Amino acid sequence: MTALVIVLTFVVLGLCVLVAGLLRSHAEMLRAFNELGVTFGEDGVAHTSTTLPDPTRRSVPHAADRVTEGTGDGDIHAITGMTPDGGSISVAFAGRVERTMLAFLTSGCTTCKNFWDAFRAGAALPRGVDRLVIVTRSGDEESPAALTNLRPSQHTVIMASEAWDDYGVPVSPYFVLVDAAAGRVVGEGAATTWTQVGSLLGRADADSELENERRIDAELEAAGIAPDDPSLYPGDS
Amino acid sequence: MTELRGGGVAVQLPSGWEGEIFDRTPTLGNRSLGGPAGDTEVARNVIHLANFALPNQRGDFGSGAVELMNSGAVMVILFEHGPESVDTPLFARSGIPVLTADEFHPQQMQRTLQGQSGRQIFFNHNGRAFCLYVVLGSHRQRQVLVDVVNQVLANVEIEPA
Repeated sequence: MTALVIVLTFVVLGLCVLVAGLLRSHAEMLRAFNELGVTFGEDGVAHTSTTLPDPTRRSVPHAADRVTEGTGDGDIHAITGMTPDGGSISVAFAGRVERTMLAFLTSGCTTCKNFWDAFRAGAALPRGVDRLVIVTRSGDEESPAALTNLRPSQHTVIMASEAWDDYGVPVSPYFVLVDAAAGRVVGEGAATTWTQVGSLLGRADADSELENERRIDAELEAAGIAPDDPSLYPGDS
Repeated sequence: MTELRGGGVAVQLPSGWEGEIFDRTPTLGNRSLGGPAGDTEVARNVIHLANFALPNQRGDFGSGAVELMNSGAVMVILFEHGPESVDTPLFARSGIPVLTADEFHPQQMQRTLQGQSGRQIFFNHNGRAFCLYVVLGSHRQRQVLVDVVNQVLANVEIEPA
C-alpha cells in the first residue's frame, strides 16, 4: 500500500511538471503569435492584425507590428509584369488622379482565398477606391495555371515580384492604397476579409475628415476667429 | 520610362502610361477566329497603350476602355495580322507611322463617341503586318494629343518576323 502511494505521488508530480511545461509552451506560442500580428478572438479563430488605420499617412513602424508593417518608401511605382495568360502588362499611377487599391495575394495562402472568392463574386470596391489591381509573385514563384482559375475577370492581375519589393510587402494578403493625385501611398496593411478592408478604409476616411475639421478649427482659433464669429457667416445680417 | 515587352514588340512607356501586350503568337491552342485550320486568319498579338487606367475587360479595339476616356486621354492600339497579310495592298505602307492632327476624324472611330477622334492605319514593318488604331479623347485637342501619340510610337520597336 505504501509503495503504491509513493508511486502515485511520483506520477502526480510528473504530470504536474508536464502540465506546467505545456502551459509555458502555450504562453510562449501565444506571445510569438501576438508579435507576428495574430490574435485569437473569443471564437478561438486566429485574426491577423490590421494596419490600415489612416489612409492619409503611412503607419509608423513599431516593433510589435514589424511583420505586418510595410517596408516600402511610400512612393508610387509603376508595376510591370506578366498576366497569367503570358501577356506583358504595365500599370502606371504617375500623373493620374485615381485611387488604386493594390491587393498583394498568392494562389496558395488560405486567407487569400477569401479575397479571390470575393473578387470573383464581384465584391464592390470600397468608397473612394477607383480600381483594384491584384499583384502576385512572378512566374518563378507563382503558378500561372492556379491564377488562371482564381482571377476575377473584372480586375487586372499582374505577376510581378518586383512590385512586392517596391512596396515593401511583408505578408500576404496585404493591401496598399495608392493615391495617384497625391503621388504617394496613403494607406497599407493586412486584413482577413474584403469587408474588413472596406470598413477600415471607411473609418479611416471618417477619421481623416474629423482630423481635418479639427485642424481648421484650430487654425481659425489661432487667428482669433471663434466658431460664432460673424465673418464666418457673411450671408447673415 | 517603363519597358513593356512581349510578342516580339517592345515599348518604352512614358511616365503615366500603361499598357498590355496580349501575346497571341499562333499555337495549336489559340487559333481564335475559327474556321478550318490553314485557311483562316490567325489572331496575333494585340498591344494596348494608354495614358489612363485601362479597365481589365475591353475589346481588341478598345471597346470598354474608350468610353472611359476624358479629353486628355489617348489610347494606342496595335493589332497584328498574320504573315499572309504582309504583302497585301492593304499593308503596303512600310514602317511605324508618324501621325498628323489632320488625319484624325470622329468618323474614323470604330464606334463614334461624342468629342472623340480616331485614326486607323495599316502598315508593315520588319516583315510583320499591323493595324494601328489611335483614339484621342478630344478631337478639338488633337494638335496637342497627336504629339503625345507620336512620342509613344517613336518608342515602339517591332522585331523581325
